[in-house]
Order: sequence, then C-alpha cells, then structure tokens
Amino acid sequence: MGVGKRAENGNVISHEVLVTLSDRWPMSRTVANQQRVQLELVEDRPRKPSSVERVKSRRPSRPHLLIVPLVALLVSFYLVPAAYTLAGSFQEISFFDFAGLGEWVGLSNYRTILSEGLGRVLTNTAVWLTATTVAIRICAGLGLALLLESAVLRRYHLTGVARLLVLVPWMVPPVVAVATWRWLLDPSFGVLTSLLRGVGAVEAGEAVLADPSTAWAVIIAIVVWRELPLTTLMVLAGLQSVSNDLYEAASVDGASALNRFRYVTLPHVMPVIAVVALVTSMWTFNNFSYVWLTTRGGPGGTTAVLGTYLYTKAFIEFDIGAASAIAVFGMSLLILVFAAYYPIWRRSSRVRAQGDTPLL
Amino acid sequence: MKTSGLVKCGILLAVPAALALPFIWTVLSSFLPREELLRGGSPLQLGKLTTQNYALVLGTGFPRSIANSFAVTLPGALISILITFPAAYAFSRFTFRFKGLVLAGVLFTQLFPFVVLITPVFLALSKLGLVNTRPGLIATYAAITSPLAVFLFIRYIDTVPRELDEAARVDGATMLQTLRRVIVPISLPAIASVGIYVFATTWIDYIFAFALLTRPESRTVQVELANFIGEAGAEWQYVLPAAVLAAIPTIFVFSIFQRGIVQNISGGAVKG
Repeated sequence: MGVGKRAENGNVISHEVLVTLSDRWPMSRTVANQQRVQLELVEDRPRKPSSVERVKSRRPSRPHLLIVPLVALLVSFYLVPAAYTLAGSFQEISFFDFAGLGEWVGLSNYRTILSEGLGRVLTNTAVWLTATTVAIRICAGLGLALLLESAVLRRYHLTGVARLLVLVPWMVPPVVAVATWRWLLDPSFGVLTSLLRGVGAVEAGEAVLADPSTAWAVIIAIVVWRELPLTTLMVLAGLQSVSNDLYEAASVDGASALNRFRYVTLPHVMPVIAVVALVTSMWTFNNFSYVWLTTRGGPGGTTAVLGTYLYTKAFIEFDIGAASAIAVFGMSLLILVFAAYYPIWRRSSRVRAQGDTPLL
Repeated sequence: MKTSGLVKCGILLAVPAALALPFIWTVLSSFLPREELLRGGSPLQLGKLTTQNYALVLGTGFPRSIANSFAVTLPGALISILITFPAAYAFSRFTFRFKGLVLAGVLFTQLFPFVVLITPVFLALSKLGLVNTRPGLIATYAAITSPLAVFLFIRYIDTVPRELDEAARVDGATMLQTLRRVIVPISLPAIASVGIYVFATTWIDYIFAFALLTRPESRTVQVELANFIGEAGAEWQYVLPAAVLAAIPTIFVFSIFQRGIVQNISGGAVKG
C-alpha cells in the first residue's frame, strides 16, 4: 500500500480508492477534509480488523434480496419446466387440456417413441450431427489455432486479420448461415453446385437436399462452418496456456518442430480438447435450428434429430406426452455423458493454469 | 527472405480467407441484379452490382421484423442485466446459506438444452396468456441469458477491490447504495460487454422466437428470414439482402468488440 489516509476507525484507505470515491461520492470528500483524518505514509502495516463487521452489526445487509429475482426467474423457466416435462412424460396430454394434468399412462409414451423410430433419430443425432461435426471441429480447430499462433503471421502483424477472418462465420446468425449455404448449393444458381457438378460429385439437376446422404453432408458443412470459430478460440486458449519455457527447453534439447508439437503441445492441450469436445457435444446433441432450417428433418424424417423430433411431436402432432418423453431422454443421456466425463473435467481443471473459461 | 515470409503469410491467410468466403460471397451476391442472379452470374462482376434487391426487401414486411427483433432483444438484455448484476454482486461479496447450492443450480441451468424448455415454457406462457406477446419472449430471453451473465459478472466483480466496498461502508452506505454508487459505475465496461453478449445471443435466436411469436406481423428477423427461405428454392433476390441485413447487428458488434469477446472466451489467457 502506498500513500493513504487513515480513517478514524483505523482503517487505511488507499489513495487510489479515495480518488475514485471522491469522483463518485461526495461524502468521501467530506471525510477527506475532516481534520480528524491525518495523512500518513503507510507501508505494509497489518490492517486492523475491517470495519465491515462493525458496520454490519449496525446495518445488516440482506444479500438474499439481491439474488431473489434471479432465483425466481431460473426456477420458473428451468426447474418448473423440467419437473413438468418429467411428469408429463408419463401422461397422455393433448395440446388443449394441459390446464391440469393429462391421464397417467405410465411408460406408454416411451414405448411409442421407441417403436416409432427413436433409434434412427438417436443415430442421426449422435453420429451424424454430434460426433462427426465435433470431430471435424476439433481437428480443424486445432489446425486453425496453430495457424493463428504462427510466428510468421505475428511477424507481419497479420494475426489480427487472420483472427477476424476466422471469426466471420461466428459473426453470422445460424439462420443466415443456413441461408448462405443454401444459396451456395442452390440446384439452379448456386456456385458450389456448379463446381461440384464440374468435378462430377453431383449429378446435374439433382437437389443436394433431397438425398439423405448428401443432405447430411450439407448439414454437417453448415454446422462445422458456423461453429468452427468458437472451437478454434477455445483450443487456442488451451494452446496459449502452455508455457513458453517448455518449448524453449525442448528446443534446447534439440527437438524438431514436429516433436515439440508431439511431446509438449499435445499432452498439455489434450485435457482442454477433451473438455471442449464434451461441452460442444452436449450442446450440439440437442440442437434444433440447423437441421430444421436445412431439411426440416426430411426428406421423410431421414435427417430427423432429437431436437426436430421433439418439436414435431409437440407442435405438429400435438402429442405433449411423447414430446416430454423425448425431452427426458435427451436430458438423461446428457447427464450420463456428463457423469462419465466428469473425471476428465476434474483433471483438466488442474491443467488449465491461467484463468478459467466461463463456458467450461 | 522477406518475400518468402510474405508468401508464407499469403498461404497461411488463404485458410481463414476460405473460411470467410462463403459469407463474403453471399454479401456480394446480394448486390447482383435479379437477371444476373437467375443466370447464375458471378458476383465478382463488380460493375454490375446494384442495391435494387435491398430496395425490394425494404418494401416488404422485413423491416418490421427487424423492429420486432430490437423490441425483444433490447428489453431482454436490460432485464437480464438488471437481474444478474446485483445477484453477481451478492455472490461475489457475501456468503450466505445455500450459496453453494444456488451457484451449482445456476451452473446446471447453463447446460440445459433449449429444446427441452420449449414445450413447457410454451405451455406455461399459454396458460398465462403470454404466448404471441413480446413480454413472454422477453422474459424467456432474460431467463436463458441469465446463467452465463451471472458468471461473467461474478468473475468481473471479483476483480473489483473490496476496499471500495469497505470505504463506502465507512462512509455509512448501505449495501444497495454501495452497489449503486460505487460498484456499478466501476463496472460499466463489464456491463456493456455482458450486455453485448446477451444482445447477440438473443438476436440470433430462432427456436424461441419461432415457437413463441407465431403471428406474421410479430415475427423476429431470424424467423422472417427463415420464412423467406421456405422449403424448396427461394426468391434469392429477397433472401440474400434479407440475410445480410439480419446479420448486420452481430457483425457490427463482433467486429468492434472482437478483442474483448476473444478474451472472454479464452478466459483471460490472452493477456492485455
């Protein structure tokens, strides 16, 4: 502590604090001008017990009041809906008599969705929507992160430019991303369609979205394109947390760039990547927008994922009970996955030395 | 030596440029006159570019959807901040019973998949008569952005020195006064930053706006744009400028606050 003032209760208030306060709080100026306050040079003297305790006993604070609105909001929008969904999954509820509860039908809803094709929906969701896009995003993200860290770019001060370009897909809303790619792949006018036809990958006159396998390729492309920047930034944070000393030590020991990557970078970055993969997977698993906006789950339900299946059941078929069962399914799977990966998350907490990421 | 460095840069920059290309292509295409679009003409013919498509789009109901979007995202951001900032102050400065539990609960809500919420929230708002009303969607937006906003604010307020609080106490301030007169003014950059994140999150939302505001005249911009695209084929001279317009707020916000956002995501690993 540098120069400060000793207030009458013995507490030292540093000079910077007083300057800040006096700008914003007229009362401090009064305090400062009082004769009882003496200007003293204080150097790391142990402080007397804070005045906060004494003030507190005179004027009790009620921090609870400050969090009540937040808790009320979250309880209404998360807890209550979750409870309702759980209860609703065991009932038969139509859209119009949700006033109370529907009739209890036990596991009938679950039986319905399981026999109706939940299997295919889950495969779509887990393999095509989630696993594939996450894998591509992690690999490409790692590559891009390494690119953004490259010394060459830094020497010419082009890192900012590169990062801005990488961020472009993230700056665009998902709906706009879908619009972009549907334009590029428009059967009649799209530039990518022409290119693909030229290369022979696509037949003339064929709509890419009409065929399930090519439709998935498109959905995957859109998801990866739009979500890659976020993954890149997260991996980049992991890369930057590796201390330079380790790289120097490796260089001194004669390690090539490739070996430095294998033995210094990768081990440190793996836990971060595991967490990024987990969080990204959990988020992607339940995504609705991308598939819905591209194919609506078609053609004929072949690209349906958990999110679109739920929406269809609830808002198109008006079967709230079945929709709730699907929702419970989605939640339970996520909890299971989370529980399985929790140890990895704990381990990576120790590796993430500098700062914590709010998203993880 | 210098040229080989520049060449390397060029090659390296090609990758991010390729990533940005799809959207840049779309933006350029939005300026192509209709005849060119129908011919599949290239938007690189800069001489042919025109703003006629934008004039077209602005003549439809699209501008109203833009206004609708602002009408839900701005109040939503305001309410979110009003609710989360004081709460974050309480979490940062005080200990109280159930604090750990509540904090864990907030963390858990951050992981909640939105699709799970959509049906019960719709039903509940229906019962309250709030479906197809702006307040219903605004409240929903406040709820889904609050968890992360709280954590960001807690992280920031933790860095504000407690001496400020104590000095205010010395001067006889109550908790609310301390919050209002001391902490808030100091935290304006953080508030702006979180406000931007909340705004961006709600601006790009599709599922809630789609489910909760169904009447054509109340649609938000993303829903309206999705409507333009439709099932098969689209009137690209409408869709392209609409898509660009729908993206402008987030592009604007991200370009200007790029550094801060990157720092937030990296969790401070990018120092300074």
